[in-house]
Amino acid sequence: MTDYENAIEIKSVTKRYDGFTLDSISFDVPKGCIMGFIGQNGAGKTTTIRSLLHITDIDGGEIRLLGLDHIKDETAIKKRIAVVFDELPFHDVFNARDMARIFEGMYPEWDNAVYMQYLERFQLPTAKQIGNFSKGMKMKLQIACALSHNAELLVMDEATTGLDPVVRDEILHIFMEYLQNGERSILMSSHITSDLEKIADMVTFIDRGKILLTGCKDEIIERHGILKCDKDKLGEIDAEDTVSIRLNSFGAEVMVNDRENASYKYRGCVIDPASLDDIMLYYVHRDRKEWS
Amino acid sequence: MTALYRSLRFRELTLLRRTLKLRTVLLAGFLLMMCLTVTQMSAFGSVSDDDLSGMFFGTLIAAFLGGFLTNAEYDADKADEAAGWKRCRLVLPYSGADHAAVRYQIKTGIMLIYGACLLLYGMIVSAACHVPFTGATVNCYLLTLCLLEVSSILRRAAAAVLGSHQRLKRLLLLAGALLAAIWLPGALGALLREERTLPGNSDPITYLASHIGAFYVTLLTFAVLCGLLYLGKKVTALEFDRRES
Repeated sequence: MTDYENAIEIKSVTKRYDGFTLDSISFDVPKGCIMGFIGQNGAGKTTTIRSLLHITDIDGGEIRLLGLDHIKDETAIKKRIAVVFDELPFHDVFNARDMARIFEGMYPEWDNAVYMQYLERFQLPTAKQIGNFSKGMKMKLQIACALSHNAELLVMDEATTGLDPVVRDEILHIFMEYLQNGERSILMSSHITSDLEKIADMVTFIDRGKILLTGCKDEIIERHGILKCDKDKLGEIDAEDTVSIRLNSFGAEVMVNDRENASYKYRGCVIDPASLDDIMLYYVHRDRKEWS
Repeated sequence: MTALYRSLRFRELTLLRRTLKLRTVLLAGFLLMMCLTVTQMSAFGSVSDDDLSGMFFGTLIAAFLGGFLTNAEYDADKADEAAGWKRCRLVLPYSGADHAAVRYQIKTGIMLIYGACLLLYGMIVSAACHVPFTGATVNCYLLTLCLLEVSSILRRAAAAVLGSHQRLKRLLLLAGALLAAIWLPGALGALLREERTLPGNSDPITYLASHIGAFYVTLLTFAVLCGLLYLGKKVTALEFDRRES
């Protein structure tokens, strides 16, 4: 087993499609951390995940998972990672017990006792056909399978999308438990930023195939703020301090990229804290600068 | 490796359980019906020439049917595509070669079982009609398997190079129609010429049965089938390892 500092290292990865390019993106997911991967639909989250899992070939760049090359050491990597897709990729004719029989031969560290514990915890029937499961049950089954072979890295692509808040909360709680030994890491892509706000240590924002921000979640939230002022005062605000400006009938809301500095510079204005949702929204409109 | 193959075998067989049951019942039913008809006819005295030609073509149909019914892999492919397992497979720790090996183990098993059924059927019919149908049955079966394997290799090779099965469907249908248009007239002509050169002292059915059922044909088609299965396994592994575009 290799020693590694970053569970995922993505360096200058490029993938070109007709009408979309993942444009030389780079970011790391340190070992033992939950990285939230945020972006609107079509931003490039799934392409990035497909690239790092080698579901698709990349046109350029380098990807290392658990310190290993994602293509050269593919089989070794796949024994040590788990992936949760947005839709359950198991056939309807199988039941939960069948899935254990399928996975136990594939993963050297598959633990049936752990799997049965998760099934019990999620109250999933073992003999019922998967085709008769609800969406929440299907996602829970996929997560139970993903967590039962001692995976060091869990990659989730929109795994909580479409689930009700109760199930989402239960699942997020399990992820936090899973990370407790400090040896495991999670990359979780979602456009539901409230989930990531709850559990992520770090976040990476992607938009139109480009990484806009990556780093510690708390620092990113701390650094940004929403400055509220009248429209006529907008001229006093330096363009370099702003991400973008949202205009409304009462005035303007400006996303500032250095809240502390802005609070000294623009003393007469109120600066509210920004959520991940706000940050995503203002960054998405960064090219237009002013929007409503 | 054994544990992995056991898992993969379990997955494939569970997936194909329903279709295999149906196919086996269909083949067994057809063969049983044919056997009953032949034994009944022979029990009532000598079998007429018309009955004999009916039995001969029935036997060929049974062999073709048996061959076609072995081709359950397309059902497994469709199920994998519908469930999203094709993408899931790419993140699981087994290679396309492992999957293809298991797929071909099962395929060969089905071929052997259906082949044994047809052999038994051929022996019963031969004994009842006093005409050597066994060789013809086996050879027709082997020939059908060869043709199906060729079509499977072409489909998979094209999918491995070009893209999904859906996009290829129309292309392959067109290619099939073209091939039939080129090959059929020639084949029919050859058959007609063949009938004209029948030896005078043997009836056409006995001649055809012994001609098609010749042992060298068995050996040849079996050798070709083995080669095709080997090639098919390699191409299937390539297709299974193909990344999404």
